[in-house]
Amino acid sequence: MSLRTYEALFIVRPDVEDDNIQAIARETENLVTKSGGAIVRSEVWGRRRLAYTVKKFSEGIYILIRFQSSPNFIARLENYFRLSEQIIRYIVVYFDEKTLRLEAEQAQRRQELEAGYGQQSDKDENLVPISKSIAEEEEDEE
Amino acid sequence: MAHISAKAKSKIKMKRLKRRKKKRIFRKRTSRLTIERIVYIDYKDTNLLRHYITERGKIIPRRITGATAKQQHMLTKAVKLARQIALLPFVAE
Repeated sequence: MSLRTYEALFIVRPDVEDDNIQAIARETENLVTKSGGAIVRSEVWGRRRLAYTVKKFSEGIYILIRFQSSPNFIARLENYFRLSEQIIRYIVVYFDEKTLRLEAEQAQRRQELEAGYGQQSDKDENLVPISKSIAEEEEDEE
Repeated sequence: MAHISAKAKSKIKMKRLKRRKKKRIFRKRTSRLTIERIVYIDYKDTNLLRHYITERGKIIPRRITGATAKQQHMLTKAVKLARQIALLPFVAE
């Protein structure tokens, strides 16, 4: 079976100790590798505020794992996330060829931008001030 | 049936056109996505996504942000994924 690229982002309960967080990350990685998958990237983002409460927690520890595996492994991985007491929320996203290509292109472009105009301060002017443009829009309507 | 001369017809047409022109002046809007030539919008990039949702957490329509159909599609998908994993709110009070 051909391998596909996936990304699993999941949230661990905030009351888990730091050592155990690493253990959870390792455990998930092992699950992937044992089923013939390969880890591409593994990151622990650390403690973050959640945008809304999940299982009565307003904080959580985010862990991101990018991996390659066969598609039928995903059901098992999701089952593991669902059964785990420590994991309060998860998503698994499939990256197709085109998305991967675009992402790589974007990453390269960002690097160039940072290298090229790192010191330029007018970069912020390009950020569309949405509230301002809404005001303009309303003016137009009149 | 009353006969309307070609001249009168064109007059009416012009009038209608004029009215329509007066009513709305459209300005082409270019989004930051086009200016910075962003080709991929990541659901994890909340700093970028926050520019495209209101304070309430709603996705801002294309007619206001000036994003192209392609860009808006990607934005919407990214925002919806980010909401699932609690990076962005469904509704913010």
